[in-house]
Amino acid sequence: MKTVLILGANSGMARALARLTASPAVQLILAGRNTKEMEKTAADLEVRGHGPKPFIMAFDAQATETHEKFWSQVLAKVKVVDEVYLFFGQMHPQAEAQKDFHLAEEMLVTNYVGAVSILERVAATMEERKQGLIVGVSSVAGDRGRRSNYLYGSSKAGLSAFLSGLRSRLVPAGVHVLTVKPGFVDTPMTAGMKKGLLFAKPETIARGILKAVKAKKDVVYLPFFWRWIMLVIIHIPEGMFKKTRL
Amino acid sequence: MKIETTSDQALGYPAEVMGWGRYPRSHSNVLPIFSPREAERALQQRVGLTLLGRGQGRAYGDAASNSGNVCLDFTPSDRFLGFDAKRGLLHAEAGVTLEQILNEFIPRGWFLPVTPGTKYPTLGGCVACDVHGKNHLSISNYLERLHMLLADGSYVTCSPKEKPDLFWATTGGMGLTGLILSVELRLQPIESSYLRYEGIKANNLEEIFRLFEESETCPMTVAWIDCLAQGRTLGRSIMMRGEFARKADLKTSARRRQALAVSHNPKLIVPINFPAMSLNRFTVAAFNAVYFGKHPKRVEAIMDYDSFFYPLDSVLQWNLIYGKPGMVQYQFLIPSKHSFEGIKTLLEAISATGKASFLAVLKKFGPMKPQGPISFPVPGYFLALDFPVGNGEILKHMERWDELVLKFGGRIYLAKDANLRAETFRAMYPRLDEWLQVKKKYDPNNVFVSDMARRLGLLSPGGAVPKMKKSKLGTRGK
Repeated sequence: MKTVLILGANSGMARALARLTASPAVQLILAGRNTKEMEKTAADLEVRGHGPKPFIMAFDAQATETHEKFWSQVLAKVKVVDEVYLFFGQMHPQAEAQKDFHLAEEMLVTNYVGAVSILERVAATMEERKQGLIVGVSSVAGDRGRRSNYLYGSSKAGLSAFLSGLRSRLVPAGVHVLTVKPGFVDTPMTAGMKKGLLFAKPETIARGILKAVKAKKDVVYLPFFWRWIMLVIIHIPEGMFKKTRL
Repeated sequence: MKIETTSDQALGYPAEVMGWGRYPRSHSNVLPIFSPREAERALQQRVGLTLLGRGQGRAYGDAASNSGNVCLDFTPSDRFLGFDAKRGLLHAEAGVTLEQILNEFIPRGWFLPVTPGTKYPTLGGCVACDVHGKNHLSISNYLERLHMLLADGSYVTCSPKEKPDLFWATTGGMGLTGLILSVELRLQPIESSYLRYEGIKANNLEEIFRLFEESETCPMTVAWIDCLAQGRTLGRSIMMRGEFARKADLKTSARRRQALAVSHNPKLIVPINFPAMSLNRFTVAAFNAVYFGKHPKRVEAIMDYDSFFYPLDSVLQWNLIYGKPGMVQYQFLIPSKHSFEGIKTLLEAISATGKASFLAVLKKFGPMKPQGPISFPVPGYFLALDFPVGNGEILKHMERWDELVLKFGGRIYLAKDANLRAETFRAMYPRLDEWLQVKKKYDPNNVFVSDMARRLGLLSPGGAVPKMKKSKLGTRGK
């Protein structure tokens, strides 16, 4: 039986991915802060008859001092973890984070430091075993710092750079690392944003992730058109770009 | 690319909000609810704004709109929380749609105990409207428990035994007593997902009433009625009766092997707003003449559940055929005592105005115990008709029909309504005061409000009167 760990299991995309991944041949481990909510997700998967009841484990990305223990508890429970999907992330509106550094710090610690902390431990185990899959959900916002969202964006830029280096390091070990860069997705994180044509459903993103895993992609923009949008955005000369309101 | 956030992120994003009829339209913030915690946060941070739970927006009028305030979008809350396979008891979050339930549970031999004519609404919305279908009782009769979040932030469970006042005020209470978080519903066992269908032509109103009286014991009945027929043929219709087929009823062995098939009928999509002119009395009359002309006196068939229960779902977004101004549905019920006289009078009045109704449905509710205080079903006959809003003339006709309905002791179904006046509504629902007392008990400060609640006075007596920003597009017909 394949074991799949989902970090940040209460995120909208994680919930969608869990539904698509669950099967009689998969043991899911849901990890996140709100265990009560994860229990509901687990109940849903069980009622749908998709497979064994998922394990639920408390996990706080910000509390990096607990990650060592968390990872050893996971390994004690399932011996081998075949796939790790990292969905957790925090976003506060730029204007508020500019005023209150605590909010900016929370994003940086969750999205970057927390991710590095847990994935380094995962990577070490998988490198030794010479097998595994790590999927990190970063963001298009990490491709270039924009005035409207650079505090969140820079945390994701850090994550993207980290994943890129990790991918290279794990090539000899045969461990696949996929960087996912979603655009706007209908999730609790974007609850306060005006919805437009650019918004995608969490199910669409989850399907895209699974397709990219199958195709052994390194980096995937979801939905696909973000690749072209970001291609334009990263090529605008800085002298011009700094004057845009993006 | 620019990320626009509202000043308070917790209270959602600005959007144009409307019902299935696309009339009236409103502007409010929409906050997606992935878990009850987000609803709880909205209660804490609402600072003077009112809240309203919303599902798929399949009620026709302003039932799920909350102009200038906040709609809590429960569609992301779509998890099954438990299933007792012995009793067919399903516990599901409010945002689960009927379609999701069918797709998951038909293969296991279970069907919805009640279903409206579309499978796209959410379970929570169905409870709030206490929906009915082709069988005889509304959904409240099949509920074991409701799990709710109340205005004071408390989580409660209600049922016919536990907090019965809250339970009955919530079934049919249009979402105004509190937020429905999850629902425990008793499904019905089926041997096959096919129906034994019988269609019988009735040449006039007397005939169709007689057919309904004869069909008392039939599990499911409904009639399709030609509202443009006048004089001798007034009320000509086709009675549709059905019951779930047993496995042995299925003729071919292939069907018998696939007895519990999930329907995947091809879907047509109406791409854009049709020119509003394409449906007028001549095109509808021509369609009806062909349909009734071609229908034999009696047909029998084995039909899949999609074709039987959800004929219109095969045209996704069929509401767009009524053009940009939108449509209204007029669904009224005349209690048993005056049913025939009342339906006849209204049919004559409607026919006389020459307003075309593409769809008209007639049905009888048999004897039943009293339901929720403002729930629609009582013993009698109801008729449901669709009209394009067009230039708004229809809304004035509807007000005159309201008076006639009231004269026969009848009532209008709130899930379809967009136009009723508060005084008329009050007279139609004699148990309104009983409901208002419950509203006052559980939501004294009117935290949960809708445009319909403001229009019909479904507000806590003595509570603060919530403000409503005048919306640009939400013009009413008057």
